[in-house]
Amino acid sequence: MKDCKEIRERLSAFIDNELPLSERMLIERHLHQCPACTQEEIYLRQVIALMDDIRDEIPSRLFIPATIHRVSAWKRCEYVKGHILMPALTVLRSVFSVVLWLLEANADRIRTPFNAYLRSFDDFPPESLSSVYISLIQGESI
Amino acid sequence: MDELEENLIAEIARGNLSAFREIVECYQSSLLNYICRYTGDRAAAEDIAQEVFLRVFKNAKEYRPLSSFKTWLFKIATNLCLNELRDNKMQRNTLDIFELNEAGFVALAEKRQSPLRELENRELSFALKKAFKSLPENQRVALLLHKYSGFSYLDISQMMNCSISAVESLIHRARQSLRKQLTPHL
Repeated sequence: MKDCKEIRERLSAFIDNELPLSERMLIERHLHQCPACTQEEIYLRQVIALMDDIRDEIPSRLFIPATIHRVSAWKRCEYVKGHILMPALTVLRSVFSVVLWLLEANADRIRTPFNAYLRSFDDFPPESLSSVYISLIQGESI
Repeated sequence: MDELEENLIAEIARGNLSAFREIVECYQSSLLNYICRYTGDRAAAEDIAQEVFLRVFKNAKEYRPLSSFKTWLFKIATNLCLNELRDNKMQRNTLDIFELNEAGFVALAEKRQSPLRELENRELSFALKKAFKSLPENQRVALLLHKYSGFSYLDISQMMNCSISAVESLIHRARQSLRKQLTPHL
Protein backbone atom coordinates (compact mmCIF):
# COMPACT_ATOMS: atom_id res chain seq x y z
CA MET A 1 0.00 0.00 0.00
CA LYS A 2 1.62 3.15 -1.18
CA ASP A 3 -0.62 5.90 -2.40
CA CYS A 4 -3.56 7.73 -0.85
CA LYS A 5 -6.11 6.01 -3.13
CA GLU A 6 -5.14 2.60 -1.82
CA ILE A 7 -5.12 3.81 1.75
CA ARG A 8 -8.60 5.33 1.40
CA GLU A 9 -9.96 2.11 -0.08
CA ARG A 10 -9.04 0.36 3.15
CA LEU A 11 -10.12 3.04 5.59
CA SER A 12 -13.47 1.42 6.41
CA ALA A 13 -11.82 -1.90 7.24
CA PHE A 14 -9.25 0.04 9.27
CA ILE A 15 -11.97 1.80 11.28
CA ASP A 16 -13.81 -1.49 11.78
CA ASN A 17 -10.68 -3.23 13.08
CA GLU A 18 -10.85 -5.79 10.28
CA LEU A 19 -7.25 -5.48 9.14
CA PRO A 20 -4.22 -7.46 10.24
CA LEU A 21 -1.88 -5.62 12.58
CA SER A 22 0.81 -5.02 9.96
CA GLU A 23 -1.62 -3.29 7.59
CA ARG A 24 -3.15 -1.37 10.44
CA MET A 25 0.21 0.02 11.44
CA LEU A 26 0.96 0.95 7.86
CA ILE A 27 -2.26 2.93 7.61
CA GLU A 28 -1.73 4.59 10.98
CA ARG A 29 1.70 5.71 9.84
CA HIS A 30 0.26 7.09 6.61
CA LEU A 31 -2.51 8.93 8.44
CA HIS A 32 0.06 10.69 10.63
CA GLN A 33 1.71 12.08 7.54
CA CYS A 34 -1.29 12.75 5.27
CA PRO A 35 -3.86 15.41 6.27
CA ALA A 36 -6.13 14.64 3.29
CA CYS A 37 -6.49 10.97 4.23
CA THR A 38 -6.90 11.95 7.89
CA GLN A 39 -9.76 14.24 6.84
CA GLU A 40 -11.31 11.35 4.89
CA GLU A 41 -11.05 9.16 7.98
CA ILE A 42 -12.75 11.87 10.06
CA TYR A 43 -15.61 12.09 7.57
CA LEU A 44 -16.09 8.34 7.59
CA ARG A 45 -16.12 8.30 11.39
CA GLN A 46 -18.69 11.09 11.35
CA VAL A 47 -20.93 9.06 9.06
CA ILE A 48 -20.58 6.08 11.38
CA ALA A 49 -21.40 8.25 14.38
CA LEU A 50 -24.42 9.62 12.59
CA MET A 51 -25.66 6.11 11.95
CA ASP A 52 -25.36 5.41 15.67
CA ASP A 53 -28.06 7.99 16.18
CA ILE A 54 -30.66 6.06 14.27
CA ARG A 55 -33.05 4.98 16.95
CA ASP A 56 -33.68 1.33 17.77
CA GLU A 57 -37.10 -0.15 17.23
CA ILE A 58 -38.61 -1.95 20.19
CA PRO A 59 -40.64 -5.06 19.41
CA SER A 60 -44.27 -4.81 20.45
CA ARG A 61 -45.35 -6.59 23.63
CA LEU A 62 -47.35 -8.97 21.51
CA PHE A 63 -44.41 -10.00 19.37
CA ILE A 64 -43.40 -13.08 21.38
CA PRO A 65 -46.96 -14.35 22.03
CA ALA A 66 -47.83 -13.79 18.36
CA THR A 67 -44.72 -15.66 17.22
CA ILE A 68 -45.41 -18.55 19.58
CA HIS A 69 -49.03 -18.60 18.43
CA ARG A 70 -47.92 -18.74 14.79
CA VAL A 71 -45.59 -21.64 15.50
CA SER A 72 -48.23 -23.45 17.57
CA ALA A 73 -50.73 -23.04 14.74
CA TRP A 74 -48.21 -24.49 12.31
CA LYS A 75 -47.51 -27.37 14.70
CA ARG A 76 -51.24 -28.09 15.02
CA CYS A 77 -51.59 -27.96 11.28
CA GLU A 78 -48.69 -30.39 10.85
CA TYR A 79 -50.22 -32.66 13.48
CA VAL A 80 -53.58 -32.68 11.73
CA LYS A 81 -51.83 -33.29 8.42
CA GLY A 82 -49.69 -36.12 9.76
CA HIS A 83 -52.10 -37.82 12.15
CA ILE A 84 -55.53 -37.21 10.67
CA LEU A 85 -55.45 -36.02 7.10
CA MET A 86 -52.86 -38.42 5.71
CA PRO A 87 -54.30 -41.55 7.40
CA ALA A 88 -57.79 -40.45 6.33
CA LEU A 89 -56.59 -40.04 2.77
CA THR A 90 -54.99 -43.48 2.87
CA VAL A 91 -58.25 -45.02 4.10
CA LEU A 92 -60.23 -43.13 1.48
CA ARG A 93 -57.86 -44.31 -1.22
CA SER A 94 -58.29 -47.92 -0.06
CA VAL A 95 -62.09 -47.59 0.06
CA PHE A 96 -62.08 -46.06 -3.40
CA SER A 97 -59.95 -48.92 -4.73
CA VAL A 98 -62.34 -51.49 -3.24
CA VAL A 99 -65.34 -49.68 -4.71
CA LEU A 100 -63.65 -49.55 -8.11
CA TRP A 101 -62.87 -53.26 -7.88
CA LEU A 102 -66.48 -54.07 -6.97
CA LEU A 103 -67.78 -51.93 -9.81
CA GLU A 104 -65.47 -53.68 -12.24
CA ALA A 105 -66.56 -57.10 -10.94
CA ASN A 106 -70.24 -56.23 -11.34
CA ALA A 107 -69.85 -54.35 -14.57
CA ASP A 108 -72.31 -56.51 -16.50
CA ARG A 109 -75.13 -55.98 -14.05
CA ILE A 110 -74.45 -52.26 -13.90
CA ARG A 111 -74.46 -51.95 -17.66
CA THR A 112 -78.12 -53.16 -17.85
CA PRO A 113 -80.21 -50.22 -19.11
CA PHE A 114 -81.81 -48.43 -16.27
CA ASN A 115 -85.21 -48.30 -17.88
CA ALA A 116 -85.37 -52.10 -17.77
CA TYR A 117 -86.26 -51.85 -14.13
CA LEU A 118 -88.82 -49.13 -14.53
CA ARG A 119 -91.69 -51.58 -14.76
CA SER A 120 -90.90 -52.89 -11.29
CA PHE A 121 -91.82 -49.49 -9.90
CA ASP A 122 -94.68 -48.94 -12.25
CA ASP A 123 -97.92 -48.84 -10.33
CA PHE A 124 -99.52 -46.27 -12.58
CA PRO A 125 -102.89 -47.04 -14.17
CA PRO A 126 -102.45 -48.45 -17.71
CA GLU A 127 -103.93 -45.43 -19.42
CA SER A 128 -102.10 -42.80 -17.40
CA LEU A 129 -99.57 -40.40 -18.91
CA SER A 130 -96.71 -41.92 -16.84
CA SER A 131 -97.50 -45.38 -18.07
CA VAL A 132 -97.59 -44.18 -21.67
CA TYR A 133 -94.24 -42.39 -21.17
CA ILE A 134 -92.58 -45.52 -19.69
CA SER A 135 -93.89 -47.60 -22.57
CA LEU A 136 -92.47 -45.07 -25.02
CA ILE A 137 -88.96 -45.01 -23.57
CA GLN A 138 -88.95 -48.81 -23.40
CA GLY A 139 -89.90 -48.97 -27.04
CA GLU A 140 -93.15 -50.80 -26.40
CA SER A 141 -96.10 -50.33 -28.69
CA ILE A 142 -98.89 -48.35 -27.10
CA MET B 1 -21.78 -21.32 18.80
CA ASP B 2 -22.03 -21.66 22.54
CA GLU B 3 -23.19 -24.86 24.08
CA LEU B 4 -26.38 -23.43 25.56
CA GLU B 5 -27.52 -22.17 22.17
CA GLU B 6 -26.64 -25.48 20.57
CA ASN B 7 -28.80 -27.27 23.14
CA LEU B 8 -31.64 -24.85 22.53
CA ILE B 9 -31.58 -25.52 18.79
CA ALA B 10 -31.56 -29.25 19.44
CA GLU B 11 -34.59 -28.80 21.71
CA ILE B 12 -36.37 -26.71 19.06
CA ALA B 13 -35.72 -29.49 16.56
CA ARG B 14 -37.61 -31.77 18.95
CA GLY B 15 -40.51 -29.30 18.97
CA ASN B 16 -39.84 -27.74 22.37
CA LEU B 17 -41.69 -24.42 22.48
CA SER B 18 -40.05 -23.07 25.62
CA ALA B 19 -36.61 -23.44 24.02
CA PHE B 20 -38.01 -21.67 21.00
CA ARG B 21 -39.33 -18.88 23.21
CA GLU B 22 -35.86 -18.37 24.69
CA ILE B 23 -34.37 -18.00 21.22
CA VAL B 24 -37.08 -15.52 20.23
CA GLU B 25 -36.52 -13.49 23.39
CA CYS B 26 -32.81 -13.41 22.74
CA TYR B 27 -32.91 -12.32 19.09
CA GLN B 28 -36.21 -10.52 18.63
CA SER B 29 -34.82 -7.03 19.07
CA SER B 30 -31.74 -7.33 16.85
CA LEU B 31 -33.69 -9.17 14.18
CA LEU B 32 -36.58 -6.72 14.16
CA ASN B 33 -34.22 -3.74 13.91
CA TYR B 34 -32.35 -5.35 11.06
CA ILE B 35 -35.55 -6.07 9.14
CA CYS B 36 -36.91 -2.59 9.87
CA ARG B 37 -33.79 -0.95 8.52
CA TYR B 38 -33.58 -3.25 5.56
CA THR B 39 -37.18 -2.93 4.40
CA GLY B 40 -37.95 0.48 5.86
CA ASP B 41 -41.36 -0.80 6.82
CA ARG B 42 -42.02 -1.03 10.55
CA ALA B 43 -45.45 -2.57 10.16
CA ALA B 44 -44.28 -5.38 7.89
CA ALA B 45 -41.07 -5.96 9.87
CA GLU B 46 -42.80 -7.78 12.74
CA ASP B 47 -44.60 -10.03 10.32
CA ILE B 48 -41.36 -10.89 8.51
CA ALA B 49 -39.55 -11.41 11.82
CA GLN B 50 -42.26 -13.85 12.91
CA GLU B 51 -41.93 -15.67 9.61
CA VAL B 52 -38.14 -15.88 10.14
CA PHE B 53 -38.65 -17.46 13.57
CA LEU B 54 -41.25 -19.83 12.14
CA ARG B 55 -38.73 -20.96 9.52
CA VAL B 56 -36.17 -21.48 12.25
CA PHE B 57 -38.65 -23.73 14.04
CA LYS B 58 -39.54 -25.61 10.86
CA ASN B 59 -35.95 -26.11 9.76
CA ALA B 60 -34.22 -26.57 13.11
CA LYS B 61 -33.66 -30.23 12.25
CA GLU B 62 -31.74 -29.28 9.13
CA TYR B 63 -29.56 -26.73 10.91
CA ARG B 64 -25.86 -27.66 10.86
CA PRO B 65 -23.54 -25.59 13.04
CA LEU B 66 -21.11 -24.75 10.23
CA SER B 67 -21.62 -21.10 11.06
CA SER B 68 -23.13 -19.48 14.13
CA PHE B 69 -26.86 -19.65 14.76
CA LYS B 70 -27.05 -15.86 14.50
CA THR B 71 -25.50 -15.99 11.03
CA TRP B 72 -28.05 -18.60 9.96
CA LEU B 73 -30.91 -16.58 11.44
CA PHE B 74 -29.89 -13.36 9.70
CA LYS B 75 -29.33 -15.18 6.44
CA ILE B 76 -32.92 -16.41 6.55
CA ALA B 77 -34.04 -12.86 7.37
CA THR B 78 -32.02 -11.37 4.50
CA ASN B 79 -33.49 -13.81 2.00
CA LEU B 80 -37.01 -13.20 3.23
CA CYS B 81 -36.62 -9.42 3.11
CA LEU B 82 -35.20 -9.65 -0.37
CA ASN B 83 -38.14 -11.78 -1.50
CA GLU B 84 -40.61 -9.41 0.09
CA LEU B 85 -39.06 -6.39 -1.59
CA ARG B 86 -38.79 -8.13 -4.94
CA ASP B 87 -42.37 -9.27 -4.80
CA ASN B 88 -43.34 -5.66 -4.14
CA LYS B 89 -45.48 -6.82 -1.29
CA MET B 90 -44.59 -3.78 0.73
CA GLN B 91 -44.14 -0.15 0.04
CA ARG B 92 -40.66 1.04 0.86
CA ASN B 93 -41.76 3.57 3.40
CA THR B 94 -38.96 4.74 5.61
CA LEU B 95 -40.89 7.43 7.40
CA ASP B 96 -40.15 6.48 10.99
CA ILE B 97 -37.26 4.12 10.80
CA PHE B 98 -34.55 6.67 10.37
CA GLU B 99 -35.69 9.18 12.92
CA LEU B 100 -32.78 10.16 15.11
CA ASN B 101 -33.06 9.14 18.71
CA GLU B 102 -33.16 11.56 21.63
CA ALA B 103 -29.45 11.22 22.38
CA GLY B 104 -28.71 11.89 18.75
CA PHE B 105 -30.72 15.08 18.80
CA VAL B 106 -28.94 16.27 21.95
CA ALA B 107 -25.49 15.44 20.59
CA LEU B 108 -26.20 17.18 17.33
CA ALA B 109 -27.77 20.13 19.07
CA GLU B 110 -24.69 20.54 21.24
CA LYS B 111 -22.52 20.41 18.15
CA ARG B 112 -24.50 22.96 16.25
CA GLN B 113 -25.76 25.54 18.72
CA SER B 114 -28.10 26.88 16.09
CA PRO B 115 -31.56 28.36 16.71
CA LEU B 116 -32.78 26.30 13.78
CA ARG B 117 -31.26 23.09 15.07
CA GLU B 118 -34.56 21.29 15.41
CA LEU B 119 -35.27 21.93 11.77
CA GLU B 120 -31.73 21.00 10.83
CA ASN B 121 -31.98 17.75 12.74
CA ARG B 122 -35.13 16.88 10.92
CA GLU B 123 -33.42 17.74 7.65
CA LEU B 124 -30.49 15.57 8.64
CA SER B 125 -32.76 12.70 9.54
CA PHE B 126 -34.50 13.04 6.22
CA ALA B 127 -31.17 13.24 4.35
CA LEU B 128 -29.90 10.15 6.15
CA LYS B 129 -33.08 8.30 5.31
CA LYS B 130 -32.84 9.31 1.68
CA ALA B 131 -29.14 8.48 1.43
CA PHE B 132 -29.67 5.10 3.01
CA LYS B 133 -32.53 4.32 0.71
CA SER B 134 -30.46 5.19 -2.33
CA LEU B 135 -27.79 2.60 -1.52
CA PRO B 136 -27.69 -0.49 -3.73
CA GLU B 137 -29.26 -3.55 -2.11
CA ASN B 138 -26.02 -5.44 -1.39
CA GLN B 139 -24.26 -2.37 0.04
CA ARG B 140 -27.18 -1.68 2.36
CA VAL B 141 -27.30 -5.29 3.54
CA ALA B 142 -23.56 -5.44 4.21
CA LEU B 143 -23.59 -2.12 6.05
CA LEU B 144 -26.64 -3.03 8.15
CA LEU B 145 -25.27 -6.42 9.09
CA HIS B 146 -22.00 -4.90 10.16
CA LYS B 147 -23.19 -1.72 11.76
CA TYR B 148 -26.31 -2.76 13.60
CA SER B 149 -26.11 -6.49 13.94
CA GLY B 150 -22.43 -6.64 14.83
CA PHE B 151 -21.34 -9.18 12.23
CA SER B 152 -17.71 -9.38 11.20
CA TYR B 153 -16.70 -9.13 7.56
CA LEU B 154 -16.17 -12.91 7.60
CA ASP B 155 -19.72 -13.57 8.84
CA ILE B 156 -21.16 -11.25 6.23
CA SER B 157 -19.15 -12.90 3.48
CA GLN B 158 -20.65 -16.26 4.52
CA MET B 159 -24.14 -14.82 4.53
CA MET B 160 -23.79 -13.06 1.21
CA ASN B 161 -21.77 -15.84 -0.43
CA CYS B 162 -18.93 -13.55 -1.41
CA SER B 163 -15.32 -12.90 -0.41
CA ILE B 164 -14.21 -10.87 2.60
CA SER B 165 -12.62 -8.28 0.32
CA ALA B 166 -15.95 -7.93 -1.53
CA VAL B 167 -17.66 -7.23 1.81
CA GLU B 168 -14.98 -4.69 2.67
CA SER B 169 -15.54 -2.99 -0.65
CA LEU B 170 -19.34 -2.99 -0.25
CA ILE B 171 -19.18 -1.44 3.21
CA HIS B 172 -16.62 1.12 2.15
CA ARG B 173 -18.61 2.16 -0.92
CA ALA B 174 -21.77 2.39 1.14
CA ARG B 175 -20.08 4.71 3.63
CA GLN B 176 -18.55 6.80 0.91
CA SER B 177 -21.91 7.14 -0.74
CA LEU B 178 -23.50 8.18 2.57
CA ARG B 179 -20.64 10.58 3.20
CA LYS B 180 -21.09 12.25 -0.19
CA GLN B 181 -24.79 12.70 0.35
CA LEU B 182 -24.49 13.81 3.94
CA THR B 183 -21.47 16.11 3.64
CA PRO B 184 -23.57 19.30 3.84
CA HIS B 185 -24.95 18.05 7.14
CA LEU B 186 -21.68 16.95 8.73
